[in-house]
Amino acid sequence: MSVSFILNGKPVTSHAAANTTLLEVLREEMLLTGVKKGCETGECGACTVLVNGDNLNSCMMLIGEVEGKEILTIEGLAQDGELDFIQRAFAEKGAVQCGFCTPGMILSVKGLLNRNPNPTRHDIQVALAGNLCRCTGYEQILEAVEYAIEWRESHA
Amino acid sequence: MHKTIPFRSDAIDKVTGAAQYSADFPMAGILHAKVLWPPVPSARIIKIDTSEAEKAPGLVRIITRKDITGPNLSGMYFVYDRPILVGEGEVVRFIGDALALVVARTEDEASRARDLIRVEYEEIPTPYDVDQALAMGREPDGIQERNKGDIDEGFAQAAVIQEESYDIPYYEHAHIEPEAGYAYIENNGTIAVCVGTQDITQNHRMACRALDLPFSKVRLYSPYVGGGFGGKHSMSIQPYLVLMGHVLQKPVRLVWTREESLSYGCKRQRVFAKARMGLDQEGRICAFKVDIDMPVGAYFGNYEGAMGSVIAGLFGGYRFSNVQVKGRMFKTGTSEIGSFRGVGTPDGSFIVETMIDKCAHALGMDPLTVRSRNWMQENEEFAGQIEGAFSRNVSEKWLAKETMDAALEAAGPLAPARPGKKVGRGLANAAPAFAVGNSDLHKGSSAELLMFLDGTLVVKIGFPEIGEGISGVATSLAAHVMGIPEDRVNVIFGDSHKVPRAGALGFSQATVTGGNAVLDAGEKLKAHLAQIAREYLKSDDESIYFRNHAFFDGSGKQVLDWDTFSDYCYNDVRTLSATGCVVGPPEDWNLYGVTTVATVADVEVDEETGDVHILQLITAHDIGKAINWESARGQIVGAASMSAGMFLMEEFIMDQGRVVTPSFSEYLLPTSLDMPGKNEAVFLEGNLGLGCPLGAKGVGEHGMHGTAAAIANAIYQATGALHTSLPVTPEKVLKSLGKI
Repeated sequence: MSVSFILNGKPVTSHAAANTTLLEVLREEMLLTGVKKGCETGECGACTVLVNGDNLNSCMMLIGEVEGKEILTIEGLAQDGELDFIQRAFAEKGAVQCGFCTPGMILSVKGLLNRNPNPTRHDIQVALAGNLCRCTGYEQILEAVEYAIEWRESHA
Repeated sequence: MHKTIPFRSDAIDKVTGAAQYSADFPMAGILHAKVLWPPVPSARIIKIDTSEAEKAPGLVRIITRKDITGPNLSGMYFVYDRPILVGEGEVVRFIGDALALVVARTEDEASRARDLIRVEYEEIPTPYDVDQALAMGREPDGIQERNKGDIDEGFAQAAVIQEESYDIPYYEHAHIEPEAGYAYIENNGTIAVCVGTQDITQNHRMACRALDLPFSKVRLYSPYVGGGFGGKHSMSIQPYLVLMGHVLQKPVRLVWTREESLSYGCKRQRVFAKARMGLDQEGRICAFKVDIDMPVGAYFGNYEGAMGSVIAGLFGGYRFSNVQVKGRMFKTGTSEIGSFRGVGTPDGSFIVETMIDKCAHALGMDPLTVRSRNWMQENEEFAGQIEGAFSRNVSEKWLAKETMDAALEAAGPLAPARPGKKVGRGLANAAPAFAVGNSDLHKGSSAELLMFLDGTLVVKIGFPEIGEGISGVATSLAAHVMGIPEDRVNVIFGDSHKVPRAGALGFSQATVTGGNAVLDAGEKLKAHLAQIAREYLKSDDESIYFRNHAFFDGSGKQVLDWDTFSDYCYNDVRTLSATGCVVGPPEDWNLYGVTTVATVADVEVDEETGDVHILQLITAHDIGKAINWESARGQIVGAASMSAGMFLMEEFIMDQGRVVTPSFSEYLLPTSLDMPGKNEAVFLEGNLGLGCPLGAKGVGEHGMHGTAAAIANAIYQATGALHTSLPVTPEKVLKSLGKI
């Protein structure tokens, strides 16, 4: 079986078996290890990627589901070496400790802002409820998201 | 300090996905392993029949006890009693006693082959909790006691006496990165093992000893580690990786599933306690009696440390005249008790702080007044002394009052109750400890500074970067001591063969003992550089010194530029490095530093649903100096959130030695929707820690100590019910309100 999709802006084809998850293809075949494997049961959110702009758990998708779709992983977020404003905000605001949840967390924020450019604090909490973080208690993560939104508005 | 980087030096790697953790290194032809776990938690293994599994597709090798020639025993500190693999004729003592390592071309093939192994066994009755141990007539496997004064005399002076029972469940560390690593062969037959761990030195020693391999031929190192909180200190996969590297002589990877991580990793201690406290008419604690029982698992792990620290935590930062504490430990067929952020001290804090509120209520006195009448004073002997070790305020002042004042000021007034809700405020003090590097288990850390000929610097420090932020702290301190900009400094982490050893990443010590080592190495490196400069200049001027890539004499005049110096060092084959380590003076042997924390929690209790919403959580901490304020704050608010989750929802359940909560659907963690309305850290700076780098005291565990008690006391004030059986679920709250 072969599945073609757009990965971080470039067309790719996977020949993985039909029962392979998108997570396994991204990590083992495409060697994009910024996509983290935390539980493989859709509970922790560490494997979050964007599928056509929506944040989804890549461990819960079989590779066949992504035919023709656009997948963005953390490795594809910075453009021309320039950090995305969300990445920058996470680094500056102390939102990163062990960093294992960070890629998934950032992509869930990206997905949220794609859907809702001006979320309230509660909207952000709801959007990140599927991304577990054991280090931060989410405080500095939420501050980073709010800072990123402000930054984007002041640079629009 | 030369602040040239606006964030921690590991942050960019982590936000771009460039940061690699132990499961992230691709290697051509790498093999994959799965562990065969025992079918029951307590049994003699009669036979491990691998005949069918040997024929499975893709199978490479099944490694069993027979492949181990060494003593096969591991342990956390000094007692080595836990087998790496249990073989035929031997005994499985808990559900994590592995029987075999199954290696195949792929993970799936390894799983399938493993499932074909047949195990014959004979179950052995064993207790799984304290009640069962007592019913089976077992004596305690260890007892710790702390007595002071005359307990009967103390209670005779009491105006009020209160009693309470405590039931604190096992907890799971729940680091989001499961245990993972790989082994391969490098130079001269060295078994290289890349593994996420909190303690390279201990893991290296434990694995080499168990397998009887020369330390020099086994290299352990850590890339970025995705959280630990104590969970990556005990034995998990480290010896399996070393064993597989040794037997296979090929690259092999082992990654635990989340179910394995939850089921087979070490756990936080389960605590049953009965406490009795008396206050005199003035609100002074005149007697405190506590009996503690702990089921401690099958192996030594860190259970004595857990009990000792529960007991130390009982005394908080208060003065006690009459104390009787007895802690009994019973071996059970349950998980190993490891370390967990603060180990037992947060449990001790929880007990004493809730007892104070209960007694204050009975006396009709404000809980803050009761606390203030019992606060230990400056340089007073800390009541929670462990025999042979002592904990002491290492600063000039003891800021129990000041931290509480700061927390109350930051909190402002308690919000009024909305319809259908009850609100309450709870307080807690705590006196959390941290290693200052002069005790038998935490005797400091070492670090090497290596300056390259372009003047950039590498700090080699034996801790891993597990999220605690040592990379940022080491960068700042190295830049500070050398007088160079931070962006000229790089940090590399724990490696048994390439980096000087650090202590265990625990006891809130990385900044303190690691920081001291960096500063010491910096002073030595500057002296070394100045010595070379004098040699080049053929000068005996002792006043010559290095600063920011040039050399000056005592009058401040530059006497040598870096490029000339660097060329000289290149031609003369000079290595610009120095190793540092600081251990305290002998009279301070076995010293642990203690600082003060005060927590204010405001809660809102829903009378219909029993939900507890934390309106705000304020933790004031006497840190001495915050080297990286955002990182230090992250430690406090992160720990406070963790502790709040443990208080309200988390519970690791074992039933007859089997795990009932092996996923995040069953073991509930706080999400972003469970955040307190406000979770704030307030740092008091200026009361510097003596013997601490730039005065910076420990902080990593200290958000754990006051949080649970402050929330419990807040619910107590709101509803009149003091909850001491954790977690405090909505069901328990509704029961206490008489609603169900």
